[in-house]
Amino acid sequence: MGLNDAIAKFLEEAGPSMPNEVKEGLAAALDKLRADKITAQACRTGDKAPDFTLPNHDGQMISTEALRREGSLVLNFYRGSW
Amino acid sequence: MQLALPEIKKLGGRLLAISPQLPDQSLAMVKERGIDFEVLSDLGNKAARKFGLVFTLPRELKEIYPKFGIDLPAANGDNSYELPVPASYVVNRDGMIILDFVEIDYTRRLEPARILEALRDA
Repeated sequence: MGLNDAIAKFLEEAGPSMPNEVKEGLAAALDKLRADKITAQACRTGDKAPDFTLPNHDGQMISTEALRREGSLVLNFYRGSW
Repeated sequence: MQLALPEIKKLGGRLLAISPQLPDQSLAMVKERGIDFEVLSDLGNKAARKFGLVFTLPRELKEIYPKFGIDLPAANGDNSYELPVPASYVVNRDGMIILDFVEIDYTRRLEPARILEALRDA
């Protein structure tokens, strides 16, 4: 079972605990975001990845330009840990 | 993603997780979950903007999030309600993107097997 199958199974099982109006609201919001084509400007395979420097949880500055010279990077943009 | 971390490292890869959260939010996450990769604080979505990933939360979601106890202004330190579209990339040593996964539906993820495949080919 792949990761996405596992997530789908989990959501199916968790589904009943979420009120229908909330579920419908979330689904409608996703549809709206899709319709707005908010991913149209996103970088894609074959593009040059923009470099950036950001602080980690300790406040240490991490530069992708320096790091990637040591090896490939897996970048994971996420919304938050909430 | 964290489960694939040992394999990612074995293939010479580094995992960076990037969110607009304040560093103290990330610090709590790193400590609670014993996280062993870089968790970066992208205040104002500066890096996400370079990747073309930033969107403003629609009104419907602004109303729903507090019901789940999610306080975005407190988590991110601003009232912009801007977030990155969930996305994963593999970037090689030359800075080229060799794998992308950009998906509005935050319940979907890039399959770790595809990341490992890209790292092997890098």
